[in-house]
Amino acid sequence: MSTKLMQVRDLGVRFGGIVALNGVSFELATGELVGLLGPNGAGKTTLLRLISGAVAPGSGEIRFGGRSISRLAAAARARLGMAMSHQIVRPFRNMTLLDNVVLAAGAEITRTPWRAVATLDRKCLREAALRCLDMVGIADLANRMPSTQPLGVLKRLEVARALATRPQLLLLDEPLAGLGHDEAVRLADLIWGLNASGLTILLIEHNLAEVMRICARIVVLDNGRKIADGRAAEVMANPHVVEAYLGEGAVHA
Amino acid sequence: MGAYETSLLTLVAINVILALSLNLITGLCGQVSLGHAAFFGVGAYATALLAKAGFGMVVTLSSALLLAGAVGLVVGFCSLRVRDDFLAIATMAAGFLFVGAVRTTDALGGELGISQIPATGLGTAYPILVIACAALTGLVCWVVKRSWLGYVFEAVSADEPAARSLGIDTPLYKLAAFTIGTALAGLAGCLYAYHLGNVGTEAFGFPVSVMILAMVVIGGMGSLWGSVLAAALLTLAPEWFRFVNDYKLLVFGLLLFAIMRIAPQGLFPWLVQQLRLLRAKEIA
Repeated sequence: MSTKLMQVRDLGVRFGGIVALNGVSFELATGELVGLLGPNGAGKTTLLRLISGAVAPGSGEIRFGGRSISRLAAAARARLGMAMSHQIVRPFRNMTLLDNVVLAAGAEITRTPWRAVATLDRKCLREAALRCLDMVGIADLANRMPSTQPLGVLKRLEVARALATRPQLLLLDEPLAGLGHDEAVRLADLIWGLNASGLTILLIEHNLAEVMRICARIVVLDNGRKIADGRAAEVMANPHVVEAYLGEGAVHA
Repeated sequence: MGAYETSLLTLVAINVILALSLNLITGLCGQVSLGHAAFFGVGAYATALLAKAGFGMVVTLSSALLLAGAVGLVVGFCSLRVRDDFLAIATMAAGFLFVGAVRTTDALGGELGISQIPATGLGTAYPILVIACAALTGLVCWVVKRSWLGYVFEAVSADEPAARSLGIDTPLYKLAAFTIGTALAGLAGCLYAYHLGNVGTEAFGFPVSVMILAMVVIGGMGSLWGSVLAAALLTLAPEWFRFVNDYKLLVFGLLLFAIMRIAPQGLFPWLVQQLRLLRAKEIA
């Protein structure tokens, strides 16, 4: 279980004059569930976008499953087994929730256009897609359009769509935000359960209670740098982390 | 049916092919093109040259398809670099480039165009062939729309980055849309060249591109029957009403505006919706 699934080495990126991420390194072992914490603007989402391929790194390297993926496009990384749920939801607004997930489940069919055009049956992956919707608790809304649904549902749709691609590594960007307390606990339980069944997960989340409850390990970013990495309780007791969160005399690295 | 009606029907069928082909690129895949008439022109000029060189219709038709598709593939690469308004401008530039290049090339007839294109030898059966081609184009578009290809096109049109994050190779799909759509426009060009017997740049200029786009938007983005309906409407209106012919762009512009204001989903989806409402009222 302790094989390295992903390694991030000395990763850095700047947007214009702003250093968004600077020399971040960490590893994810297969089967881990790691919480990625940090105050607003710390670079958490940027790190996730670098891993998923939405943003190109300025420096450093990302290895996934033993090979360097720094130069691969987002779609190619997804095909290697990475899936991401976005912080700002991006459903396909012209199709039902179910169709959103069916498309994600059909990665084999959508690999090439000729394969796609030869497949007329859009119903074939309905069952698998419905299971994903059911897992996040929105199966009864399967035939609704995204524009009619509240944020909480769309957040869960993001997770369902990511799950439908049957990933090896799941990147979750604030999946619990916008959910009510019970919903959040339920989704956190699901995340924990998915991890228990062997899925490696990197989770950004501001809901500290839930992160502490389900994540064994926590990585903390502040001002684009990693300031802590280790077992959850130890990290949260780290004075640097407390300082970064409370802002009292914050360290400007 | 008299010769006038037959000729008009042939023209409608050609425009149906054009509208359907752009609907594939713009309506289904969401890639705006303001230069579609250029691919129509590529097909027409390829046909004119080859027919005059003595080749039969099998050769001209397949060459028109392939050549227009190949040029479309090249222009499609634009869509990988730019999006939305910028893509509209880039495709518009491709359209102007085509007209400019043809006008200044003597081998393509320059300003005068190419006339006396030999007939197909089909005689009165020719309109039937054109209509059959339109039906076949409709079938191709139907298969694309129904299949997973159309499914992915919808996703790309809605949110390309989200589609990429699902592992979909979106550039490949956009190129597929451009290639199929422009090849079909090339087919329309071939049929048009034979129908008229001569080709000139004015038939493939910017106003024609706008007209094809207007057909797609007025009919309803992505709707196949909408494209057919709007193509017929926008072809027949200038023939039946003199003033429409005189003020073509003005009338089409007004029509576009009216559709955007009253039925932004397009004419055909709007009609279906109204019929449903009417039926619901009858039941109630």
